[in-house]
Amino acid sequence: MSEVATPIESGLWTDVWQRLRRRRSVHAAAGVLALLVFLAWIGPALSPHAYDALDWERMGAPPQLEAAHWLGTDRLGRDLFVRTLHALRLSLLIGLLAALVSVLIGITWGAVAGYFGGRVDAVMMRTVDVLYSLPYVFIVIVLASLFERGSLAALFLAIGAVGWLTMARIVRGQTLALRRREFIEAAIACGAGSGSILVRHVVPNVIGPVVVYATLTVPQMILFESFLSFLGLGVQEPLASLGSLINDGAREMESAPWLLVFPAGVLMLLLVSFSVLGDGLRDALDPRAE
Amino acid sequence: MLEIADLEVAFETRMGHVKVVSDFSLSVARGECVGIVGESGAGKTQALLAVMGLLPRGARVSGSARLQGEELLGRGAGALDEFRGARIAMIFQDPLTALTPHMRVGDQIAEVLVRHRRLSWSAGRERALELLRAVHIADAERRLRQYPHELSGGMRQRVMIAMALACEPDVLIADEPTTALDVTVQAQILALLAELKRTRGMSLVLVTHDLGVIAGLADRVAVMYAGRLVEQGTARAVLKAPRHPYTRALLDSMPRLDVPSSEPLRAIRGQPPDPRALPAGCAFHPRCDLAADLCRSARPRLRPTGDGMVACHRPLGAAAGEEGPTS
Amino acid sequence: MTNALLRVVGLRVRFAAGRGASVHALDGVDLELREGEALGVVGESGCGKSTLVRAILQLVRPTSGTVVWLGRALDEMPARELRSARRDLQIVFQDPLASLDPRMTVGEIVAEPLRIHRPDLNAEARRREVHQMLARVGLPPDAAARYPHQFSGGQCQRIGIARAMILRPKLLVCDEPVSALDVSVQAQIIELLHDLKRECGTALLFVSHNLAVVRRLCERLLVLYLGRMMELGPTDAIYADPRHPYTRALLEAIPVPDPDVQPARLSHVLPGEPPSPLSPPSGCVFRTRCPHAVEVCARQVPSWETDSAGRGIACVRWREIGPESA
Repeated sequence: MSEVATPIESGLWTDVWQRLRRRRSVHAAAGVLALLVFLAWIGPALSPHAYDALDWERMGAPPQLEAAHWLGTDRLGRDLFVRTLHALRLSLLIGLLAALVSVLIGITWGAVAGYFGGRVDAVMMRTVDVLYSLPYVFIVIVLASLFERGSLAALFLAIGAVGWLTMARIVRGQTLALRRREFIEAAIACGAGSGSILVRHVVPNVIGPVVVYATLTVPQMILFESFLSFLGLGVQEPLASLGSLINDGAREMESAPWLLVFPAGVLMLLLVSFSVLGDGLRDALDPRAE
Repeated sequence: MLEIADLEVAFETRMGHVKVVSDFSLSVARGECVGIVGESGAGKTQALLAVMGLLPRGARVSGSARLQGEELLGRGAGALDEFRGARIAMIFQDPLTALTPHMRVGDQIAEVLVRHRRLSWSAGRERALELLRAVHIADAERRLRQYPHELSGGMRQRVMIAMALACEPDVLIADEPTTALDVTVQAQILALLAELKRTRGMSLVLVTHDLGVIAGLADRVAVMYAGRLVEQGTARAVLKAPRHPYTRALLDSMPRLDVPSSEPLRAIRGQPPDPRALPAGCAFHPRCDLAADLCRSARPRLRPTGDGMVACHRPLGAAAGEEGPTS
Repeated sequence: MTNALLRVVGLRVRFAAGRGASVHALDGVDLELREGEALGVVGESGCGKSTLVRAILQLVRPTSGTVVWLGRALDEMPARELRSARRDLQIVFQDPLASLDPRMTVGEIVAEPLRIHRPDLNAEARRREVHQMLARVGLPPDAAARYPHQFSGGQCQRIGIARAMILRPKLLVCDEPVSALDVSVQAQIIELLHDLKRECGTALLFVSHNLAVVRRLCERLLVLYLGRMMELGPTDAIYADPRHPYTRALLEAIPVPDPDVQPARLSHVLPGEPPSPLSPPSGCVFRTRCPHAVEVCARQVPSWETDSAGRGIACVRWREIGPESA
C-alpha cells in the first residue's frame, strides 16, 4: 500500500520537479545556464587581466593565446574575455531581478484585478494603461534627473516600472477566463476565502503562461538595459553589460568582428537556454501534458 | 444502399497503435433506419466519420464502405466531394460548431446547392427557403437571413438537417443529433427525422447512446462495445429480447417511468474500457455478471442467431442447441 | 413547518441583457426543504434551474427575495459567516472535469473542504478522512495522488461527490450531475447519491432536465418554465397524475426504449420552443406552446394554487383539463 503513504498535499510542486527532471532538453538548458553563471562568477579570476585594465601594446587585437587575450581586446586594449564575463554577471543580475519583480508584481496585480473584476479591475487596469502610455524615454529622463549618472538603483526602478505591465495584463486575461470556470465556483461554494482561492487555484493555473513570459522577460530586460545604458541611465563605462558590449561591437563589426561575435554568442546561448527552460517548465507545470 | 464491411479504424498516438473500431460490418437498405448504440468511446462516431472520410490525419482506415456499389474509402478529398453532401450527408451533435458562424443560414444551405447542383445563388436561396419549410422552421423567410448564433439549439439542428437534405442524399448519418437538446425539442427533432424517412424514403443511420431515441425510429439496431459490434438485429428483437448481456444491462440501467421508483437502478459496474488497454477475451467480461472462464480468454465472434447476430459465448435466452463452443 | 432546513421566499434574479434590457432568469420562486428531504427541480434549458441553484448558494446575488438557511437569511450574513455556513451547503456540478482544479491532485481536491472548515485536523487525520471518503465513493486508493484528467467522466463525478460529502453537509445541491455521463455510469452515480443521502441524512436539491432520473431520488418535485414555478408536489403523485400541461408534455417527451410504444409517442409532440426570456409572453408564460391555452391565459398570470396534499400548480385551467387524456 505504498499509495496510501503518498503525501496528498505536497502535490503540484513535487510533481513538477519530478516531471522537470525527466526532460533531457531541460537538463541541457540547465547545464548551459549553470555553466554561464559559474563562469560569470569565477571567470574573471581565471584571467590575469582586470575588466578595466588597458593593455597599451595590444589595442584591438584579435583573439590570441599570447598575453592571455583569449577573446582579443577592444579598441582601448581591454581584455574581451574578462569584460564579456563581467558583463554577463551584470546582465544576468539585471535580467533575473527584473523578471522576478515583474512576476511578483504582475501576478499579484493581474490576478487581483481579474479575480475581483468590476470596479477594482477597472481602476487597476486603467493604472496599467496609463503607465503603458507614458513613453519609456520620459520615465527614464525623469529618473535620470533624480539619480546620479550610472546609478543601479535608478536602473532597477526604470526596468521595474515597465517590466510588470505586460505580465499584469497576461495574468489578468488568464484570470478572467479562469474565474468563469466551475472549479473556482466549486471552491467558493466550499467556503474558501478569496485569498486562498487566488493562491491555491488561480495562481497555479496561470503559472504556465507566466513562466514562459518570464523567461522571455529576462533577455528582453537585458536588451532594454543596453538601451538605457545608451541614454546614460544604465551601466556606465568602464563597467559593461552584454547589451553595451554588443552595441560597441556592432560599431566595429568590420574591423574587429570578434568584439561582436563573442558577446552576441554568449547572449544567444543565454536566450536559448532560458526559452528551453521556460518551455520545459510550462509543460512540467501542466499535469495534462504527459 | 450502404454496405460497410470489415471496417477498421486505428490511430497512431504517442502511446502506440490504438484500434478504436474493429471488424465493423453493417448494411443499410433503402429507406431503412439503422440505429447504432453504444457509450462514449465505443467507436460508433469514429466508424461513421471514417465512412465520410472525415477522420483527422493520422487515422488508419481499412476495410470497405460502398454506397450503391461505389467504394468510398481510400478516395481523395476531391473524389469524395461528389459523394459527401450530395449522396451521403451527416449531421452532428453540436449544430453550432458545425455551422459557419459568419454566414447567414440561408446562404449556407444555398452554398451546398450552388456547389453540388450548380444552381445559381438566387435559385439556391429559393430552394433553401423550401427546405427550411420542409423541416418545419416557423417564420422561414426571416430565419433565412439570420446567423447561426441567433437561432436556438433546436432550430440550428433543423437548419443542419435542411442543409443535409439539400441535395436529396440517399443516406443521412445522424450522430447524436438530439443529445445537446432539451427533451421536448429532442422529441420534435426525432419526429421530424421519422417524417423525413417516411416521406422521402431516405436511409438513415442514427448514432446515439440513448436506447429510447433508437426505439422511436430504428428498424434495425446495432450495439457497439469497445470498438466492436456485439449485437445486431431488428429493433424489436434487440430492445425487447436482447441476446447480449451488455444490451440487457444498458436497458436495465436506464431510469424508466414504468417501474416503481423504490426499485434501485441496475447500474453496470465499472467503467467503459480504455481503447488503449482492452481486456483480453470478451471486452465486456469485467462488467458482465455472466462471465465465465471462456469469456476471459477467447474473444467471441459475431454469430447469427435467429434474425440477428450476437457476439457472446453465453448469450441470453439461447435455445438449447444454439449455445456452444465457438472456434 | 418549524424544522425547515432551507426556505426560499419570493426569489427573483434579474440579469442585465445590454441596452438597458434585463432578463428575469428567475421570477418568484418559493420553496421549502426539510432536513433529509430530496427535492427535484426539472425544466428545460433557460427555465432558471441553474440560476436557482446558484442563487441559493449565493454564487449569484438575488435581485429580490431571500434564502433562509436554518432560520437565518444567507444574503444578510457577513462574508465570514457565510463562508462557515457553506460547510453544510455543498454542491456537485454538471461538468465533472471542469469542476475539478486541473492542477491539483485528487487528494488535495477532496481535502480542500477539510482544510477550510476543519483546521483542527492534522495532515495525517485529513489524509485518513480523504482515503475513507474516496473508498466510500468507489475510487481506488491510489486515486489520491493522481490528477483529475486521468479519470473518466463518471470517476470525476465521484471525486466531485467525495469533495462535497466529506464534511457530511446538511444539504447537497446537485446541478445536473449525471447529464454529461454515459447511461451505464449515470445509474451508478444516482445509486451512489441515493445511498449517501440515506447514510448521512443529507437533504438533496437535485436539478435535472430528465424526469426519469429525478424520480429515483426525490420525494418532491418542482417544475420550472421560463423562471416561473409551474407545478410542485410529491414526485409519485405528479408522475401518476401530472396536472400542469407542461409537466405532461415533459413526461411524454421522455423517450421510452420500446419500439412498440415509442413511435406513437413521437406522433404527439409538444410544438415550439421556450420563448425568449427577454420578452416573455403575457399572462401564463407557457401559453404559447400549451395545447389547452385559451384567451384568458394571455390576460391573466395564473395564481399559485395549493391543495391539502401539498401539491401546488400555476394554471388557470387545470381543473377543466382533467386527468390525462392521452
